[in-house]
Amino acid sequence: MKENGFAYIFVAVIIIMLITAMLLLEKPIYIKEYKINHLIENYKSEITYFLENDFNEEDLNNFNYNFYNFIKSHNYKIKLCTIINSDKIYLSNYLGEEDIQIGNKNTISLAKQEKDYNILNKCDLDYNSYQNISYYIEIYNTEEKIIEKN
Amino acid sequence: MIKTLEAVIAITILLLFFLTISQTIDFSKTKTNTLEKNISKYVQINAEKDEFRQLIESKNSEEIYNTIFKNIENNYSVSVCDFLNNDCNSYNIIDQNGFTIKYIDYYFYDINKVLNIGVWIK
Repeated sequence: MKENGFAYIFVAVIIIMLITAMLLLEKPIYIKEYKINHLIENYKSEITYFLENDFNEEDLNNFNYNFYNFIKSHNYKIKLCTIINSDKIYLSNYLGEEDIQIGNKNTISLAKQEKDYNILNKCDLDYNSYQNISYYIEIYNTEEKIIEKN
Repeated sequence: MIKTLEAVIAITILLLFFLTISQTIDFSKTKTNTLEKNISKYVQINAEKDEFRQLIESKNSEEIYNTIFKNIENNYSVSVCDFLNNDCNSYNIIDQNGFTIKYIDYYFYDINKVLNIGVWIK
């Protein structure tokens, strides 16, 4: 090959063939869609905005109920639980599990002195009384899953 | 001399190959995700502004389109709909034929409306 004076060109052709083969054999890289992350961010932004205004048990329940349906309208399933430490302690359960004390798709409030850690720990959150809001959100379908805890 | 010429030819062939590769490989999926992320961030930032929420409340999709015009390089449409309802006010909707359209929906809880931005990619 050297005698023919084509060594460099031959090497170049080999490199091209190798890279072409690599590109042809390369499996498509699966990049997660951003949609599911966006839905979580939507919840986080709006709950922050929600906390800036006065609210009661019913408002929080409507908020979570609407979000629950909003996420479902995008063909995702959702588990959601929110604890807000305000004038009272509000607990909203959308985990899909029936609970005698709270009930599914329901929101209750507890007086601060009555706080019951058995109830507060149902959210799979470490309840922290110094935090204004704690939430657990799980959005998923057969292909994707995202869990956000605060 | 011949070796030098050979090396120049080999390098030229490689450069042409890499140039062709860079022009033909489809990075569109990655770009789409970056685009979705940017739009999502942009909507979140604006959702904190009362003026923007007022535009949503009044379903002024044309004004919303103009507000975000400088922030989206691709062609896009804007719709504002009542929550879980097809009662929408839309701006710049096109025939979808030949385009992949990515949608970003943002729910505004207090006014019970959904902002829908559709970005189309060739």
